[in-house]
Amino acid sequence: MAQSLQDWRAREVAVNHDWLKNRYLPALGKWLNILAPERRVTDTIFEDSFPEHGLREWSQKEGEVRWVVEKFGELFGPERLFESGPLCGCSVDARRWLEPLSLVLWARGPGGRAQERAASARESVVSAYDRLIAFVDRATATPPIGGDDRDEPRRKGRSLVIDLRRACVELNHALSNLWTVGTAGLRKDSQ
Amino acid sequence: MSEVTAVPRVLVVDDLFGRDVLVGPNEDRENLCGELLLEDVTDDHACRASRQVIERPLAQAMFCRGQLPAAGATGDVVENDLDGIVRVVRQGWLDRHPGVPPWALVLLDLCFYTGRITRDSHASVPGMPEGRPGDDASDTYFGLQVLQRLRREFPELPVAVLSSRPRDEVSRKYSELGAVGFIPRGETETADLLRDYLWRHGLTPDPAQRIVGTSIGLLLALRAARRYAASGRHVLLTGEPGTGKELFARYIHGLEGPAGNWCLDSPRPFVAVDSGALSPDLYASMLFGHTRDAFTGATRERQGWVQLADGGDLFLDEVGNMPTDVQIGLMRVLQEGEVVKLGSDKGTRVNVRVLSATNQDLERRVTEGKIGRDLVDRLRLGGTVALPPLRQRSDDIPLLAESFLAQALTTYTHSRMRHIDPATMKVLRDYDWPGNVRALQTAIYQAVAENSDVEFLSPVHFEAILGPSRSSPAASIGREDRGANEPRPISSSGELASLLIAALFSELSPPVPGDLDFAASKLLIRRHLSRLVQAGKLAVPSGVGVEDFFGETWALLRMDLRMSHVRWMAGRLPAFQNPARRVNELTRMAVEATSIEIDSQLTGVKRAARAK
Repeated sequence: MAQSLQDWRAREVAVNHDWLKNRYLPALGKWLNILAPERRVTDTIFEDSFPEHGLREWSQKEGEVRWVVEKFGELFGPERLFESGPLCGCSVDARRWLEPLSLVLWARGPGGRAQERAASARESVVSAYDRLIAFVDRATATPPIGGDDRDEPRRKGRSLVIDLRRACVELNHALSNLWTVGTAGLRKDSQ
Repeated sequence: MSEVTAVPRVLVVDDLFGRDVLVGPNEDRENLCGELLLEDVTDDHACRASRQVIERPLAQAMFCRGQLPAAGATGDVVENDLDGIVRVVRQGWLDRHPGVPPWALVLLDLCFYTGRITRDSHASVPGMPEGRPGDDASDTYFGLQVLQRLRREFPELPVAVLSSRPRDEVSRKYSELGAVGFIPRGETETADLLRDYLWRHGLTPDPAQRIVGTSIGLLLALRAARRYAASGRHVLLTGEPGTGKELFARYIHGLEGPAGNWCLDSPRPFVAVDSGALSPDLYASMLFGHTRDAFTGATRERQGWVQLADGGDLFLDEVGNMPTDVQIGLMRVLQEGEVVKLGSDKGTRVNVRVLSATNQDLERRVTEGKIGRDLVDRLRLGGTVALPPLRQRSDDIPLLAESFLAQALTTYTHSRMRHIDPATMKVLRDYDWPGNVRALQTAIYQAVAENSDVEFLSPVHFEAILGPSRSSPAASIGREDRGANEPRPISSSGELASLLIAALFSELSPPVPGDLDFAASKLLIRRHLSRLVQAGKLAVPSGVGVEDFFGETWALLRMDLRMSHVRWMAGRLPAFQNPARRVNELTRMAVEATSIEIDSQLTGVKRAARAK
């Protein structure tokens, strides 16, 4: 059990802190400053490579985020109490009704709400990401003609990046909250 | 001319963003700079390899990994380097070159990963180690140790935590350790938050360069002005004549609202009044206005300065000299927001912020009954900004002199382009300027006007203007020939520090060696102190042995750290013709650098001594 928790924590830190917070969010922040109406940053290498590579790292990390969210229920929810906890000795009959009931109750409590929040935040990122990628791919396929028309796609693109960044910030908070809520629950159980 | 940049300089101490990369840029650092609008000026491989341009940076940023090696490869072991961080901080704080602003803010990470750089960790983030147990434990964050040390070594240095870690875990600790706040990384508005921190907590120069200087004393006063201005309440400015109180008042006037938006020409009115220049009757009539026939000769109604300043700021200079009758009327303005004209019994609503100034000790004026306690309290409701005299910010003299020279050249259009030669600059720096900045300005203007056809301003051009230099009060600190034959206790830690350092330099100079031997310094100071005590010129606090007192003080003084400051100052000593003055000036600067820390720590020594 302890090993599983450590593994979960290590993977959550790797994807949430090390990648999302330290790398992806600053890169999105920089991109926003590049796309600002009055350009604040100039970096042609980044401008060329980020929409094609850095931005799309989400698609590689999404599965990891999904795993962290789903595994949270298993590790911190009531199931573990029936596997190795105080309820593992209860009768099959009792377990048949007690386990689903405890799951329903847990889902309504802080742990369930934290998991729900994280799952919802992940979905928001997926949705914002898909919209942005579709826009980027369209823009790449049909380059702007020039003149005033050039500003409109830029504005639209920036607004989509803002949406994605906002969703990522919420995901970061929601994932961090899992550990806080989960460990608080464990402490309560051990008391 | 020394180049002054109004863009503040920040130091970022962070293992991820501070690490050097030998091939190519540090992309994480680039992204952070791109997000926070920081111009990387680190001058390491990573910085040189970067092609990123920040168009209007919020600040120039120097990055420091805080670990060794700065650029690691697979197989290297990364260790935290607290002394290295202190060294870098000191270079941009005490040991910086004149004219270079000190760190406006230090941004400090909390969690620093240590240990071996493995193939996996390197592949994930180049140069980053795999981490050791405890690195990411909030109780033992290395960043908190750094914060503690910086607080002890550089008490006035503003440090903010810049971390992606949860704030709540450490909020009590970083508050106790004196951080100015916590900037959570990865939030949506991090750049705006940094801008706000720089404004409220940073030691940033005047962006318009109307108040010229980069000395820590001046920047602290500017920060105080910004903080107090944000309250919108009345602010009191104190300082010797000529220190620039009206300039500061105008600076405060230019600060609009709590966000500290600054504008050169605020549309709100600014009315300046010299309280000492007018007779009491005239003063009241000018300040509050009068009705028709209020007194003989009042042929028409007139608005007073208070009403003219409605919606803006009223600057009252020399407020300590304000006549009693005027004080009563002003109290009504401050308390009720209402002005009553002479000859009327009806008040008019006004919304005025009063920025008052004095070079007097207002507490004493209150005791003497010259000014009311209530009025003084009202005038300083928003805060008191103490302006440093020029002799305490002699680092700023070259900048000020160059600035006044440039102004004088535009005023005296017939005069030649000219320069202040280094010898002259030394003369100007050596002088203690009892008339402060205003006197320096006058001296430069006069020198330009009287010598319109020379290319260089030399010491000879200032002889008639400056006359013999007056010794500053601070310069007398630490003199052995103070004429006190009676043993006297060491009353303050600042005095002790000055004695120790003066002793060291009287033994070693001239010339002062470039690289002081600390053991030898310690011996010299110990010998000197003992000699003073034996000669009955000094007595340590009762109940404490000389050796104990000295031993503990030595440790607390951390002379090894301060010595580099002294060394740096020593490099500028040829400026002083007179050896005694040389030691005195050095002493003064050293005292300034050390006294704050020592004051707090000596309390501990004395307490420990009493406990013995």
